[in-house]
This record gives sequence, structure tokens and C-alpha cells, in this order.
Amino acid sequence: MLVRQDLIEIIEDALEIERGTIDDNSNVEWHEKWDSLGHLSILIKLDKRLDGRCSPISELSRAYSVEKLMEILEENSLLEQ
Amino acid sequence: MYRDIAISKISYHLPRTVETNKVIKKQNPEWDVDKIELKTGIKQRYISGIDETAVDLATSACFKLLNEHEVDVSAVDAIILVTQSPDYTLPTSACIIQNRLNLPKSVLAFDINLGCSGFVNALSVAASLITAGTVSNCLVVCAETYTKYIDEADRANRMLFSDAAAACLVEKAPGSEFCIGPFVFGSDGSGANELIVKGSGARKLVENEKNYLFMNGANVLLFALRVVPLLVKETLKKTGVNIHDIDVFVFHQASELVIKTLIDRLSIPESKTLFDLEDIGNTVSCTLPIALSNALDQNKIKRGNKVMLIGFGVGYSWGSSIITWGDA
Repeated sequence: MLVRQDLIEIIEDALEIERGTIDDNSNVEWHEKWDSLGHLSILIKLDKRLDGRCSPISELSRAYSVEKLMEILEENSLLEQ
Repeated sequence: MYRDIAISKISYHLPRTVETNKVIKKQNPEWDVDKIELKTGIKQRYISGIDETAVDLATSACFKLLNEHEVDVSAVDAIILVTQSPDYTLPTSACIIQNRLNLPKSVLAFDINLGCSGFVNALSVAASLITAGTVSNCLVVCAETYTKYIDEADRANRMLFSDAAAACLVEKAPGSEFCIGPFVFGSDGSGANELIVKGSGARKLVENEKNYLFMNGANVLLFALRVVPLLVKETLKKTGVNIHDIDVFVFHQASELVIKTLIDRLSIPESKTLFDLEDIGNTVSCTLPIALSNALDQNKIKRGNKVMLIGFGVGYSWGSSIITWGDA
């Protein structure tokens, strides 16, 4: 199970951007590195961190914001509020 | 498990036209070509000519195999063509190739409509037909011209897919120590819309819809992460061998990112994994036989090696097998 800060750090690592760059309002339009390839990197890191529990969740493929990612992960009991 | 049935010969053919990333960069300065190259591991692709089809490429690959390895055309019993870019919806492309190669009219010829898993599927069919005594050998041919389905403005697909054909002779080989199988397969049509060319068959398009290749890359990636590690484990279990006993892993050459992610999940060392993308690209069903051919040429596969083939993709469809390489 992740907490919010874990998710933020996973996104920052995946996009190879500095800590503190991402916040709850970040989305695909907000950072040039969060493009389609960047999104693949986020999904790969998330799935690894969650021991393969992300790969069955197809909605994640279009979760192009921190808010949406949090919402889906919470719905699937993979993120603590 | 099929003993003493060998993939005895492999040849492949690539179209003449090469499209490098440098050319794409020049045409599309707004695309981040370097970043895509870093992720895909692909520097160039082969593009079939306007009048050059999968049947043309397949015929050339077969001629190459027959000539290079001095195979007697009259001795060929069957030909299976794996393609998703046939010349026509009908007739069957394999029949056209039978005629072009002047194979005997007694030959068994049919197409298999599968993509990235197609080689593994066709190999299992060929091995079954030989074991059953229906035929004594079979040309397994993969040929694709996906680039004809790609919109020039489609950055992701254009920088991945490449055209090619590969031909293998599968035959009885007593005493060769070749062993093919067992096989593990899977299908999940719920992913049909994630990698699709709409309007390419009998189901009509809505007006003005273009029949280009569509790929939801993120969902296809999630599919691969969900299915492939289990596929590998199931194949090992069915074979009764440990992952450390496999000498060479040949994954479908989807992209370097996908292969590296999968081997990371499975703790497979890069040194045991074939990467054959850089100069050829993703040639769909052809990636496995082309990677095998190149690995054999480079002596990366030797007699006695256990070689694992892993195909996965469009459908969704997946298949895997372990081959103990012999000397045929």
C-alpha cells in the first residue's frame, strides 16, 4: 500500500525530475516530461513498487494527473488516504 | 514436447528502404526523436515499397532459405504463413506463395492471422503436423508490412514498426537432439481495441474514419506486465526447468523499454537476453525468427542451449516455448 508521498516520489523518479516538483495538481499538460513515454515510465515504476498489482488496472493507462492516479489507486485499495 | 523436430534453417529478408531516426528528426523537428530512441532502442526501420507486400517479402525470404541452404523445393510438404498484412482478404496468401515458389501442388498451405505471438503459434502447429505424420517438414514463414497501416503523423507507431519476412524450415531431424516445447498459450480478446486497424476487414468503418493502426501503448504495456511474467513462469513449470537453466531468452522485440522491464521483473540477466531492435525495429511476428537467425550467426546460440521463445501482443495473444537447440 502506498501513501500520497510515495506516489509523488514515484512520479518524480519516473519522469527523472527533482524532488518537490510534483504536487497534487500536477498533470500531463503541466510538465513536458509527462508525455506518453513519461506515462509509461510512471506505470512501470508503480507496478513494480506494488508487486504487479497495477497491471490489471487498465484505467491507469489514461490517468494523466496525480489526482486521477490517486483516485484509481484508492479505489483499488493500493493507496492510503 | 516434440523430440527430434528441428528448426533446421532460418533466413530473412528486409525491404530495401531504410528509414533512420535522423530522417524522421529532419522531417519532424518538433518530435523528441532522441528521447524516443533512448526508450525504444530503435535507430532505424525497414519500409516496404508501395508495390511491395508481405507476400513479396515472404517469397523473397523463402527463396533465400531455399537457395542458401540448398533445400529441394519438391521436398517441401507444408507452408504456414503468419501475417496480418495479407495481399488480399481472399485468397489465402500462403497459396499465392506456393505458386510463386513452385512448391508441389500436394503442399498444405494456410495463413495464420496473428501478430507478435504468431511465430510461437505457427511453430507449435508445424511441430504437431510433423509429429502426427501429416507432413515431414513445414516452411514457417512470418511476413509483415505494418508500416502500410501507419499514419505518417503517428510518432509512436512510426518509430517502432518495421517491415520484414522470415522463413524457417521445421523438419524431422532424428538424432539432432533438438527438442521443441512444451508450449503455453493464451488469448484475451478484451484487448482487441487496444491494438487494431479498424476498417481492415468486413466490419465497416464509420464514415470518414481512417483505417490506420491504433495502439494504446500504455494499455498494451500493462497487458505485457500482467501476462508475460506469468507466461514465463508457467512455461518453466510445464517444462520442469528452473529459470537459471535457460541459456537464452528471446522475447518478442516490442521495444527495449518493454524487454528491459520484463527481464527486471523476472530477474533475468541482460546477458542472457537477445536485443535485436536497434537496426531492424519491431517487425511484429518476424522478430523472433530474425532474432534467432542473428543469434545463430553470432554464435550466441549453441548446440545444447535451452532457448526460451516468448511472443505477446495484438489480440491480445501470447505464447511461449522452450527449445533445446540441437544440430540439424
